[in-house]
Amino acid sequence: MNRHIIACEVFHPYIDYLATLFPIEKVDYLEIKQHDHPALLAMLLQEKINQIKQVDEILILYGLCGNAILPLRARSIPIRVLRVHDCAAVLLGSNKAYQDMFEGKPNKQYHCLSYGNSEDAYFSRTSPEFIQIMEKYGEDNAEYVYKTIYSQVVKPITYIQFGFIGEQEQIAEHESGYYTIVDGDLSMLTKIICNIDHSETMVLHPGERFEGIYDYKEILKVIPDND
Amino acid sequence: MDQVDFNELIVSVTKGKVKDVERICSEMVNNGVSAFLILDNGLLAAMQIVAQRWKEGTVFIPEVLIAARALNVGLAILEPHLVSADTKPKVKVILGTVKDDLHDIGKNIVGLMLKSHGFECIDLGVDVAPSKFVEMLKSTGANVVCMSALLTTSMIHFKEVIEAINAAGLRDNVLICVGGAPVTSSFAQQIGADIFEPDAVTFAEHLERRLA
Repeated sequence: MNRHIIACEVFHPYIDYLATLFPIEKVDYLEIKQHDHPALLAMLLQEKINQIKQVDEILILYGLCGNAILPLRARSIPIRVLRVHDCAAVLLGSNKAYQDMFEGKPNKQYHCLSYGNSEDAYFSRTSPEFIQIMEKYGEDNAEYVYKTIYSQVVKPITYIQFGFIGEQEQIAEHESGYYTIVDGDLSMLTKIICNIDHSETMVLHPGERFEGIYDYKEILKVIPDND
Repeated sequence: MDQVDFNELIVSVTKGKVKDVERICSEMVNNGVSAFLILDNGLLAAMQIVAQRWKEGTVFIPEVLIAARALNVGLAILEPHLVSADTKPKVKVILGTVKDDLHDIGKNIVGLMLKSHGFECIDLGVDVAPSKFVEMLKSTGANVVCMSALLTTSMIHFKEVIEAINAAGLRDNVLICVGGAPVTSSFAQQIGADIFEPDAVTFAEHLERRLA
């Protein structure tokens, strides 16, 4: 099958690793953490989808991701997406593992190698945004915004590790107790990207749209697009 | 009384000059300027400017937060005078992030915006169980509830809260509002919420209009 793959940068190191083991098509990556702006992410994805021609399928390595995939429409080529809430399910190996890890737990923050320092980037004390606000509105206001934005970092954050180079350095950058370390599992990503098993994906054809279910099993479904 | 110039107060709020806002509001109150006039022509006028700039995309969340914080400092000075002026009671609004979700930036910004529009906010915090929303609606007599969720895994709890409000027999008297980055208008409609807006600024304006 002739596929075009669009993926979040979060998967980059893992796909690079899999590419050393299996033949994998070239992947078109989008910047990490775009799920913070679902409407923008949807627009970026749709733009890419609209540009793709002469393939049998477009594989989009995104799940609900803040509902960013709900506005997507297939033009003439079917779109396959991950039937997951977010990338953590993929990095943990299955929706079942994701459910076991996070259901009923308010703190669902997680981190992995490819997140790098992106968690801290926006409005960290050294960020251009912080400095700009400090210069314009004073340090007190910049600190207020910083504290308001970062009041929601609740420890420990789940760190999904695979034994890749760089993970231990990332973990060591934070104090003890900042992370809970869990082992990742690339089986789901491998099955999908190597076209072995698509039980945790969903295909959208022209004339259809996605609808969120938001549970831990079905997660999303495809319905006729009557709009 | 001479015509009052609110320009300095407006500029101070928009620039987040908390101490200046505090000083100007105190001076105005001491000079006998009506607290309502200061609120409408100073604090709220400033916030309208920031809201407009936000809609135009010339300022962002940090600027909205900074202005809302300054506004609330001024509001704290005006509040005793607003009460003594025999005003009608404020509309009480219950706010909370739903169960299994700890994200509160959006909710906090909504709270600041609602306060700046004259609502009394009762903030239940994060990870709030449906029963807590119902309990607080009963005990405070509030008739607006605002729920927030940032995760697709927690959006499902909106419906549980609405069902709990229904089961408690409160639905007819309660306006249910939902929001958060993944929430859409069609989802809000589907679960039976009354109001959804994609951002805090628009939402506060919508709620004010709805209750006018």
